[in-house]
Amino acid sequence: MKKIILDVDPGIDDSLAILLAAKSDLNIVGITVASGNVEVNQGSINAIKALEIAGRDIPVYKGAELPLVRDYVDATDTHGPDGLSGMNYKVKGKANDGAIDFILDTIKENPNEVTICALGPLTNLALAIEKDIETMRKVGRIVVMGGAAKIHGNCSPVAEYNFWVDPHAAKRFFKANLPNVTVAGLDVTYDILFSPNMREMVKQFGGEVAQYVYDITQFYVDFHWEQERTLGCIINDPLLVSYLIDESIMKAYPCNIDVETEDLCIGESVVGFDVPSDFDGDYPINAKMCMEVDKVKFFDVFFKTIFPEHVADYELMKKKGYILK
Amino acid sequence: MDKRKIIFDTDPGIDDAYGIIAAMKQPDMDVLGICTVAGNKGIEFTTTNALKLVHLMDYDCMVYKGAGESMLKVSEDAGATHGADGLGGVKLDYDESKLSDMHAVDYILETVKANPGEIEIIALGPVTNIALAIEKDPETMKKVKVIWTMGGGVHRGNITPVAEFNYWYDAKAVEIMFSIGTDVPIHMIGLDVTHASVFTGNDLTFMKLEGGKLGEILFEMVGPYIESYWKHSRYTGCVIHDLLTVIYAIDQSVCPEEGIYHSNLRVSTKGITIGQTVVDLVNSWKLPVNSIVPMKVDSRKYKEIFFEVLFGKEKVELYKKHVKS
Repeated sequence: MKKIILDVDPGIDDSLAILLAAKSDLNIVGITVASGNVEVNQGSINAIKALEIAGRDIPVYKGAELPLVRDYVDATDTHGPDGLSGMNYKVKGKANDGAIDFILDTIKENPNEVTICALGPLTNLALAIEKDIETMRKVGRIVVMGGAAKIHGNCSPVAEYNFWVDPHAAKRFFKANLPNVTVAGLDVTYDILFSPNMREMVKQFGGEVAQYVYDITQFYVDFHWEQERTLGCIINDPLLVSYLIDESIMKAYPCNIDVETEDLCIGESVVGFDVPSDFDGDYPINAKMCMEVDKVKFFDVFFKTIFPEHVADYELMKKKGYILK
Repeated sequence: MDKRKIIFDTDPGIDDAYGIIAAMKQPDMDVLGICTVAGNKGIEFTTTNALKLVHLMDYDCMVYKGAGESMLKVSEDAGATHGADGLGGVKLDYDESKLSDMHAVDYILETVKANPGEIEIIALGPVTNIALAIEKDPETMKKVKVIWTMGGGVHRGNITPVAEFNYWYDAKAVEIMFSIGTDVPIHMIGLDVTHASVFTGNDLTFMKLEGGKLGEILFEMVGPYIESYWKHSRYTGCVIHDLLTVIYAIDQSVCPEEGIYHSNLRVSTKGITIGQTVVDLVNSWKLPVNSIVPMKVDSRKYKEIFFEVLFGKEKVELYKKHVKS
């Protein structure tokens, strides 16, 4: 079974993504963390918490503390001071150092068999590329959450956070032209709205997992309402995990992706869909970008995987139109 | 009835030709002068083409030659799209005596001074002339009544994935133009709406069948356009960007009110995003409003207005009754 590494910056939606992955049949061999939504030490604690909630023992590795070039800007305004709505969880486990080596070693031992699911800034992957691009070329597949092709950004009208926080890493990542890269950005994740109705349903499910999901999303709901009058929160990252579970959830199109590293549009993903397939200039086809999503299918996977004992309740809530109206 | 006082600033160009002809046929519009600029073709070509349109329509106005190069000194010839002469290879005569000795920039300034608060500028090419006029005499340019400009795009580009040709060609000029957007209403007709308003084979054939001599000439003109759209985008038809700008200036209801954004607009003048308009549709930056940007268009209404302006009420009834786009 394909070995999967989650590269994350948890963060509320990253934590949900870890939980989803850890409760699924996916073969998660390790989690690497970079500074993003929160700085790397806090992010590692949050990653371990999600694994403990899922009852899984998967190693966590700390990676980049800072973006490659830019000054670091966290997203605690969105995720809460600790990245998890201020819950300040204590954990039993400890994170290891050496995220970059873990990524490279895993690929070396399993050439063309490793999938990386990158849900945070691309700093760790850019550092791995810098250290050993030949090994990185032997990755089996990479799915990335980031960017925005034809929709407004969340850090500026044109930029999405993961690419915006470390645009140089993102640029280096796409310039490396690694095999089999699929990107899902705000074009599809804006549809993944975890509504208050869903939250209340989860609370009624009861139990430790449900309470955790309920607690960590509180701040997110408040933020989205305050900031953009969206009722509910957009949970970007689990979408990529669901895509690894069921590829029919999103439709992706070949494109060239480059990233702006200066001035007004810094961090913008510049996505060209009309690159001729025989073009070998500066802008080759280097990725597929997801532009369509089946959100009902996503939530089916999300709830049924995380709460397998409540599938009947979930289906009933759907049927009654209480969720996914 | 006092007619609306129009100055065209343009780089004809097939779609410019459609727009200029529509304005010349619109009863309440008085086209005072046509200023030319380099863009679709070099300045000599665009000036000759403007003269040809004046002659074709037997219209009483002069042509004023303007900027031959952009402020940022890029150059791109759109010859392949517009035909070698810029008017689809249609043979048209012209009268050299209609070319004024006055520079376009001076003409714009003199005319605005003589008619403060009354002049509407319809800009269908790169906006170099307008920017030069603003640099020369900003106070006079603040007395322009309104600017209707074809260019930019919020979620799409054409010359790059994020930039539209006119604005890419002279991004610096765009920046300068929108600097007076807090004093002068500037309506930007960008690719988001122009691409939603395709003239199909049915529409164009109707025009040829019922539009008399002018209809035939206009049909012939778009030949290379249709070819290019088929080749690159697999449309059987074409997008006539500049025409939508003029029709919108004639009747703003072609763009439904709820889809019109009064926003802060900035333009990228550096990096891989050069020429991209960054429009803060959701007002996240809380910057002053300097643009009016329609994002929706009633494409059928647009074509009906065009046919009515060019060929009269009777023909448009025929179109409504028998032609499906």
